[in-house]
Amino acid sequence: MRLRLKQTVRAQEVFEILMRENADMLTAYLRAVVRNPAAVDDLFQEAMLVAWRRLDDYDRTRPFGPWLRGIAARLVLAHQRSSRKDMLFCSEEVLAHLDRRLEQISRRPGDTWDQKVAALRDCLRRLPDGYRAAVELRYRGGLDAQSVADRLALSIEAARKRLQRARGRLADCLRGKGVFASLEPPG
Amino acid sequence: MSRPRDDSLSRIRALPDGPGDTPPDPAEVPAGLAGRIADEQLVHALLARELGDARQAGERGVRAVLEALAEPAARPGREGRQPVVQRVLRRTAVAAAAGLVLATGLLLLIPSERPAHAAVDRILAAFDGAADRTYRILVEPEGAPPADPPRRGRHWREKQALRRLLEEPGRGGRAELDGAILYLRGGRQFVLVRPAPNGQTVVNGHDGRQSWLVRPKRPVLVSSDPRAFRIPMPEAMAAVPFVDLRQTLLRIREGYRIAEVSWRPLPGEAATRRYVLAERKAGDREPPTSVELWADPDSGLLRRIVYHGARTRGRPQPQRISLDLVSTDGLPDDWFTHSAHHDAGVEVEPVP
Repeated sequence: MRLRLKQTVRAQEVFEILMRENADMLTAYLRAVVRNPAAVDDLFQEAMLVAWRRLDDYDRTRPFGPWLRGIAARLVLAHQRSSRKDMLFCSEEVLAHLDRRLEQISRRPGDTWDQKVAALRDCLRRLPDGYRAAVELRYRGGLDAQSVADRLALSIEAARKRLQRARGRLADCLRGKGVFASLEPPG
Repeated sequence: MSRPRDDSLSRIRALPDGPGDTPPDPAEVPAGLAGRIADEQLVHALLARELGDARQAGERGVRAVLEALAEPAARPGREGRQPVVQRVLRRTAVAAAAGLVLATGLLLLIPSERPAHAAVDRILAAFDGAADRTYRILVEPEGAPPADPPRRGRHWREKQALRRLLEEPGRGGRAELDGAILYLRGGRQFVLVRPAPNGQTVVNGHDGRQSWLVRPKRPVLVSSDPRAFRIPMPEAMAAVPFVDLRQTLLRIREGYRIAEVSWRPLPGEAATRRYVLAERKAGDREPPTSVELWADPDSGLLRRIVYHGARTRGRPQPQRISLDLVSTDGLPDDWFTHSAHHDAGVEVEPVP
């Protein structure tokens, strides 16, 4: 009994390390397809708890991240069926694309998630002022498109378009820096 | 940065940036574009972490899972629902039950004001019993913006908006309410941290016994007057002290007309929350003109409060002041005392 408890405590310590190593990646994966931040929090916890319960099924010779994303993908698709309003654009194809993208990022140099995606900060600095102001207001200020439009004296449609183009430019910049490298077709 | 973009992608707005926006139906997205949309959504997720409120989400999630793992039923290989699942199920059930009760109540009681006051009472009750909460304050001009100086067009305005954002804190020569953070414990204790020039902060608060004010390179002021060191603003506005949300709620209940009690989502969210709109009574001239509240349907926890037509010092235009809940994480025990916000050895000066 004592041995089993000790084994469980040891497994929990290892699992905590795996969780911390993959927490930012999993948050990005979920946030890329789930609109509601509260739903992201719930799905994060559910995915981690399912991973813990199924830890015996995990092949320890393979990386933990893709296995965790596989669990999260099933939960996301189930959540989409019950709460479509919580979601961004999401399909199996989108999830597969994100899975490969995040695998690319995980192989980039750096020990932490911040280091692996550090290129984003340089891309942000290179954005034209108008695009950067819109992005700062939307994300740092937490404003919606209408408030961004009010602040920048734009029509709401122009503000939406500017945000979309700013994100598109950032994606292009990340492609140029190899963070979003070209992907082989899924095989 | 100047790579040509796919025109067909630019016609599809994948990311909703406002409460009324909806993502495209997968059936409407041309083959081959899903990957580029996924990339844009991943950029959105990266920005939310880099600039927004998602930076702590991973660590917060890990802590919640570790707490759940401390439950005996969470050991690997065991069957049974996990705490998060139980919480989700419980919340859904409570929300459904609350919705049913509320719908019944509204049908029976409209047009009486009783359910409206009950909604505010519920938020008040939750307010007194709530644990630590952290709110972010935003101040925005309301109505048409003032005219720009001649020959200063959109490019100038964008540069100014960006400069203000990047230089925060430190504009205007005095501590600003815009961008301030408000910490609350129970119904009485608070700490308000306002950005001040040169990247420093002005902090004032009340620890349940005394009020205090901490300013850069100056003595700490303490007072037994609970109304000391309120946010500097015109007298009329001081009657609705922003930091004292409890007083604000009491004033709304007694001095405002409850114009609407319904369910509405917060901007950028899909889930609906308890919504209360309170309007200034006819003949009353004191700002704000109206107040909106959003609260959790099951707990009554205040998620957002917005003051319309507010007046603040140095801003001639009416302002919209919003307080958004950003965290319910527990704060250090001594967080609401002044000593937690300045170095040891700083002079403390009692004032009447």
